[in-house]
Amino acid sequence: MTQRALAWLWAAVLLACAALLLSQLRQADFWDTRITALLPASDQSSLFQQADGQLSAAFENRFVILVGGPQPVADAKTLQQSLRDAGLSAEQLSNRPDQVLSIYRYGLLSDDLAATDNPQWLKRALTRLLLPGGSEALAQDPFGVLDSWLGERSSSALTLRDGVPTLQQGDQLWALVSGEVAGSPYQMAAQQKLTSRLADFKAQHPQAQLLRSGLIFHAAAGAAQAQREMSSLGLASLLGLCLLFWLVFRRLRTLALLLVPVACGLLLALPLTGLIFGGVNLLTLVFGVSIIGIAVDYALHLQCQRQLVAAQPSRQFWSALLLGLLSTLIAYLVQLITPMPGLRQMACFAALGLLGAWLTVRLWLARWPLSLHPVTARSAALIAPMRLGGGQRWSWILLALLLLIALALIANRLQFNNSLQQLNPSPAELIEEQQQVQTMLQQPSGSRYLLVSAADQQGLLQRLESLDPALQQLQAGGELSAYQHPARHLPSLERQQQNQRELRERYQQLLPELRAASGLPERLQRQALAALDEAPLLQPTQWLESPAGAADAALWLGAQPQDEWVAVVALGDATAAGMTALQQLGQADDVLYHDRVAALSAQLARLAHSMASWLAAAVVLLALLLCWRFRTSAWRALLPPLGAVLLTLGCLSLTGGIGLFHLLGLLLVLGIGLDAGIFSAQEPDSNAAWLAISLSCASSLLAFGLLAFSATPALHFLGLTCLLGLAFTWALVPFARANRLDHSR
Amino acid sequence: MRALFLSFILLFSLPVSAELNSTSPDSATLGAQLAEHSPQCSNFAQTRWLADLEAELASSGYFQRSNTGLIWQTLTPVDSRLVLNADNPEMPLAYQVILPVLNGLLGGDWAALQEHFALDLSGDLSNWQAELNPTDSVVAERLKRLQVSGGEQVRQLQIDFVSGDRMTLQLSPADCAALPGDSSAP
Repeated sequence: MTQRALAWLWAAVLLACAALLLSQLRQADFWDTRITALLPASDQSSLFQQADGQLSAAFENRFVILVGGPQPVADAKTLQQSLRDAGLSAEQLSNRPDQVLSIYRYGLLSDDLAATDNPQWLKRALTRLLLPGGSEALAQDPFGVLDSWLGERSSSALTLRDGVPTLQQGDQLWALVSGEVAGSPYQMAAQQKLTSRLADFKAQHPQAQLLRSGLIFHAAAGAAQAQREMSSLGLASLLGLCLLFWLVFRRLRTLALLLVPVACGLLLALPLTGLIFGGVNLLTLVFGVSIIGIAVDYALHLQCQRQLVAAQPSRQFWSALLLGLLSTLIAYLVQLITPMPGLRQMACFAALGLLGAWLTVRLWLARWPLSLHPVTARSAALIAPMRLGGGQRWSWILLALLLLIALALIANRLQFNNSLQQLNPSPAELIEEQQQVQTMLQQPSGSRYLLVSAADQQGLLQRLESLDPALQQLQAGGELSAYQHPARHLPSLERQQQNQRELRERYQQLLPELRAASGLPERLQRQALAALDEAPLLQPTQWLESPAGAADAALWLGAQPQDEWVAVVALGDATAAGMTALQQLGQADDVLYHDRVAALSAQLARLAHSMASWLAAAVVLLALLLCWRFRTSAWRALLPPLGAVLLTLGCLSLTGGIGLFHLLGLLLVLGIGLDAGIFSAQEPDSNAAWLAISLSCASSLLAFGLLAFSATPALHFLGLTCLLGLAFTWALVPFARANRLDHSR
Repeated sequence: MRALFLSFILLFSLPVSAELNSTSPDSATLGAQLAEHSPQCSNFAQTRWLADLEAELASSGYFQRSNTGLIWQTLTPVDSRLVLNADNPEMPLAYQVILPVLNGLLGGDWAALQEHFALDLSGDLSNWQAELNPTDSVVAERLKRLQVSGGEQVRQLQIDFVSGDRMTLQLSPADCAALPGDSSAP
């Protein structure tokens, strides 16, 4: 096939990709912003996974807003209505536990009432009887057993005012507005809907104070910050790039030409990666776009070669360019073998993008008419002297020293740091609001829990009941902010029967006294005891399937394959002592302690470690390949990429440790360094190659080094690594281009 | 032009409201009168019809307003003292719905009541009757109808509950200082 036919074929492929991409972008779930989606699915025990899934649905999709200010109840009503209209409301009022539990009340005896003596019971009954406007069915529950049970179980002192749940905190009354996201809280559509509703509300009620709690707010804040910076830093880097290329090429057409391969690379990578993985993670895109830095390399080398050496590049040039592609592909494709779906997706994206860019350069750009400007040649001549000649011994000694220091630092100080907190991009005020809300409402966050198992359903409830005193003690002592488990609302049948016995005893002792004090007919005693005798026991399914039991259903994992019943005890924030006590509870055979944040951090660490070791393997492979290709001058090809990686790691070992995003930056540095090294080894005397290398380092510095100034931790880490790495790469090329005569190093 | 228009409206609306006033009091005027004359302390006689027991329970005593809530002191058939306040844990949970209604009725806060009820007033300011039917679903779940009557103060109050229960309160102003029992501390 002729070059011309191939070029047309390539155009057809890209056209098909564009069509595919258009159809994919119409799907709502094409973009995925969950970091967790990049982690291997088989990494956790399936029980933890099931628990995480159920808790996510129950906790992560919900959000709570506390409304303060001068008229919290009215404002909360307005806001709740606005959220309801937007389809973001959880119907809290329909969750009426009193209705579900009404007939089961005789088995539900609060600890409080159980500990109270007979005169107090009698007083309680009389109070309820004489209350103006009391309307509880008297014979059904003369002592208010159900009220006491529900009061003890409602997580905090919420009182209904005007049908709105409220909470008094000092002088301020807070009204509670709650909501639920139908899909994932990471989906941008829901985030935008909620953010705009809240903005409208704030504009109309400037006096209202809002406290927000819920994953969706954090996700939205993170996305908004990333977007803001993408536009401010992105604009700065775009202007810088345009200025740089303008200074050297002075032709608008050349500028456009440099971007064509990048665009084609993305056009190939995006839809195909989406097709293979069923969607594209936003993290993949952030990283994937960074291949621009490498993709623009090929175009720069070709352009400099054509303008300064020959309009039709030699076979040697093409083989060097091909070697550049292959070596970078190796670095990325090695990641494809790892068990991490996240890495596989990124590697696939990067490899396809590079392939697309390279093919575009090879098939299209070489045939494009040239438009020259004398400034280009002058620029090349200007930087041409920047290479080491003979006799510059001190430079080599300095380099060797620096490399040794870097090695020493790496060996002694380099640490992996993969704590999620380090990556948390949430603004401090939002984190504080969330903590305030959780403290006020005494809600467990769902990020920490105990898994409790037993041989059967009732055994499980009894086991939970036996754990309860220890948890209650921790909470009372302030070591644990909150906890929740199904047996709090759903006592075991044994406990219910025991409660019924106790209640019958109280009835028999107290009803005659109540009758005597109030003058009510004998009928009271008969009816009350009859109601107690006929009362059914609350079966687990009846509670868990009711709307009021939905929160407990999320904590109920039910029957498991190995004839095991499992439930979750959701935990709130704990002090260090509380944490130790909880971990001790987890020492029992039938109890497991799990910290989701710690587990996720550990998974990120595994991802980073696995990436680092595969990266090392790729480096060895590349060294062998380049040694085979360049023989004695292989060091020229290896010095810029490896030297830059070493020096960068040395510098990073002085910071708080490296994580996944530093490693992603290193991959980029390696890719650009390899191109620089290969061209330095292939044509150490070529001024055109040196200009292209300089431009590629400078442009990538502008594109990614600027991210070092981002406030989003992940982007900052990526940017800092690129800033250091690319600067080192560029500084090492004069060594790699050192005069052939000089072997005195 | 606008001033002229406004004065026209005022001119024509005045006789109309005056006429309304002569047949039945409007809620704002009545509310103001009740708020002004509501006694600090009041004797009550309560009759409670308990549908499930088919029995009537009579009690009497007095109540006193305080800034922590209404102090409800029953003297017969037993001595019992209670502060009616939404945050009082002794209150039944369902009472959170009743309490604002009771406060509105006894304090003459018609504006608050009209948020939850349709108000139908008849009689004149010295002898009026009011019927209130719930418009709010949370309230309507428990209360069927309220009937209130009085003059300068509320004299009688009847609540019909959805459960079939019924409560009647007869009220008469009382001198706080002359009341029996410990009225200084709740």
